[in-house]
Amino acid sequence: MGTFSTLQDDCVPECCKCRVLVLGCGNTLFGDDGFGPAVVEHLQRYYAVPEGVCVLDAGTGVRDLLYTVALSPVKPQRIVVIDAVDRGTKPGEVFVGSTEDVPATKESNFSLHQLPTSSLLKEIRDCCELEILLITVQPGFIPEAVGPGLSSTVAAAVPGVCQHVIESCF
Amino acid sequence: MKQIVIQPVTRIEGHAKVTIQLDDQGNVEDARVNVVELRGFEKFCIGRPVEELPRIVCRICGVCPWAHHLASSKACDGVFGVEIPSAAKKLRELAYMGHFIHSHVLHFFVLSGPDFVMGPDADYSIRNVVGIVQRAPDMAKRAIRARFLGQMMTQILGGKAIHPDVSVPGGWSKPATEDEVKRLKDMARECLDFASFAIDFAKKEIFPKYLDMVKSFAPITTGYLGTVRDGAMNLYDGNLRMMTPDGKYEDFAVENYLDYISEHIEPWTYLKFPYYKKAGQFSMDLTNPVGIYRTNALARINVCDRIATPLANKELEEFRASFGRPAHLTLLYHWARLIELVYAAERATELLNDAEIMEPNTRKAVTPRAARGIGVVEAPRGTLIHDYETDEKGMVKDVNIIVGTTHNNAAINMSVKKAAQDNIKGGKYDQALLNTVEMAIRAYDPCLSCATHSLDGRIPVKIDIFYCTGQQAETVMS
Repeated sequence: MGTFSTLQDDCVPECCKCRVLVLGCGNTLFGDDGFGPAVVEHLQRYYAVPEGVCVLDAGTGVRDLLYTVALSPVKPQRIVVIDAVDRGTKPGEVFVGSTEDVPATKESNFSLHQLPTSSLLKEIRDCCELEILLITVQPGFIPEAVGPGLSSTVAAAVPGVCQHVIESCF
Repeated sequence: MKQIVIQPVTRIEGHAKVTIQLDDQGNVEDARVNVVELRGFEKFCIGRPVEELPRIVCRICGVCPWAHHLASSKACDGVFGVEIPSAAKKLRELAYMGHFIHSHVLHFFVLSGPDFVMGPDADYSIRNVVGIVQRAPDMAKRAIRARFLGQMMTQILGGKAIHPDVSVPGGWSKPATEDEVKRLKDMARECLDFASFAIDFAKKEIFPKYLDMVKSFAPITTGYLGTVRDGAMNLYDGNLRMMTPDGKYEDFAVENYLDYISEHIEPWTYLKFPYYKKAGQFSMDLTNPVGIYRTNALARINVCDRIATPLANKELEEFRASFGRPAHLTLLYHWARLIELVYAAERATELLNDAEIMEPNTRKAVTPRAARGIGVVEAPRGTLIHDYETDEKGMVKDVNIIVGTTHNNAAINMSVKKAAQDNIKGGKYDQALLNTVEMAIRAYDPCLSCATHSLDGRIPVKIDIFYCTGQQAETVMS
C-alpha cells in the first residue's frame, strides 16, 4: 500500500486518523434497521467521547467508509460496527462479537442493513491489521415500505449498548 | 398450453432475482428480473417541510447520495422559485464531478473489473477491492487512489461524503477557500492523469481482447435519454434529450418530462417501467421493442452532439468512429463510463480554475409558497428526476422520484432475456449462463432498490429456471 504514502496527510478524513472508529450502520428509514445510527446519536448527545475516538453515523454508506479506511495511509486500531442483524433471537437482544460471529446468511443477505459481509470484514481486519468489534441487536420490526423509528423493545437497548461502548470499546 | 410461472414478489434481500420460463422445446420463452424498489418514500415525505428533503434523500442510498442530494436541492430551488447564484451552481457541479470520479472508478475497476480486468472467469472470492489491492497490479493501485481522491474532493467541498448537507435550497452553504481550491486542483489533476491512463490502458489491454464478446453479447436496440446543454454532455444541468433507436432526437425542458415519459406497470413487480410516451405504446419484444429507452453512461454518450472538454471529446469522436451513433452494444456502457471519467476530471479542473467558486455569495434566501419544482441531474446510474409539490406553507404535498435504474428496468429485462436465450438451447445450459446474466445486469451498474448494494461489490444474482409445466428446473446462485 506504499502508493498511498504520497497522499497529503491533511486530506485524510477524521475517520481514518482516529484510534477507534465507531460506525452506526443501517437505514433510518426502515424501523429497527436504524439501530446503529440511533446508538450514534445517543452517544453524541449524552456522552463525552474521549479524544482519539470518532463516532460516525454511517447510515447506508458503510461500504464506502470501510473502503476509505482500508485504503487510507493511516488507519484506526479498532473499528466498532453497530448494526441490526437478524439472528432469530428475541427482539432487542444484543450480541457482542468479532467478525467470526457474523451469521453465514449475512454473506449474501444484505437487505437494507448494508452490514459488510463477514468475508470482507475479515479481509479488512487481516490486510489492515486492525481489530473489528461487532455489536448487533436483534430487530423486532423492519417494514416493507419506508417507516422510520425504532420499536420500543429495540429502542430500549440503545442506552445499554452506549454504556457498553463507552466502558469496553475504547 | 405453456404455463408462465410468476414468482411471488417479496423483498428480495439484496438479490437481483431472475426468473426464466422455458417453452415446450426447452428454449427461453420469457425472462424477468426482479429488483427491489424503495417503497413508501414518497408517502413518507408528504407533510414535511420541503427544505428537509435534500438532507433526507441522502438516506435513501449510501451509493449515490450526492445525486439525490443535488436533484433534491434543484427541485427545492424550483419550488421556492429562486435562481441560485452562479457560484453555487459551480460548487454543486464541482462536488458532483468528485462524486462521479469516485463512482465510475469504483464501478469499472472494482464492481465490473473482474469481467474485464481479470477476465469473466476470475474467482469470485477475490473480486473485491481488498483482493485487487493484494494482487496489486499497478493499475489497480492507481484506480483505488483515484477513487479515494474523488471521494476526498466531495468531502473537502461538502464537509462529509456520506450524508451530504452542504447543498441547500437556494444554493450552497459556503464558498470554497483558497487553500481548499489549491488542494483540490492537485487532486483533480491527478484524477485526470489517472483517467487518461485508464482509458488508454483499457483501449490497449482490455477492450481489444473482448471486442468479439462486446459485439456479440446479448444485443438489443433501444432509444436513449440523457442531459445536454447546447448539445454538449452535461451531468449537472441542461435539457433532457430523448433519442429514438434510429438516432433521431428531441430536446425538452425537464419541467415537461411527463409529456415525454410514461410509466408502464407489470403485475409481477412493484418497479415501474418508464417508456417514451410519444412512441404510443410499450413493448419489450426483443425483435420489435417499442418505447424502450436506456439511461446511464452509454445513453449520455449517445445523445450528446459533443463533449465540452477537449480530451473527453477526442475520446467521444474515436468511440463514434468505431461504433457509430447511437451505439447499441450493451457492454459499451463500460467504455462510455471511462469517457465520462475523463470528462468529470477535466470539468472539475475547469471549475477549479474559475475564481467565482471562492466568491462569498453562494446562497439566496427562500420563502415558502405553494408551487411545484422539478430537479434533474444525471446520476452515475442514469437520469434522476425529483418532482415536488408544496402547499402555501412550503409543506410537501406530492413527491415523484424516478431513479436511473428504474429508467433502465425494461432494458435490463430485455438484456437478460436475450442473454438467457443465447445460453439456453433445448433445455440445456451450463454455468456460463450465470456469468452471462450477471454481466448483462452489471453493465447497467444498477443500484438495487437504491438501498441494497453489497459491500464487497457483488450484486448477488439468483436465477430460477422453470419448465413449461411450472416445475422448477434449477436454481443457480452466485
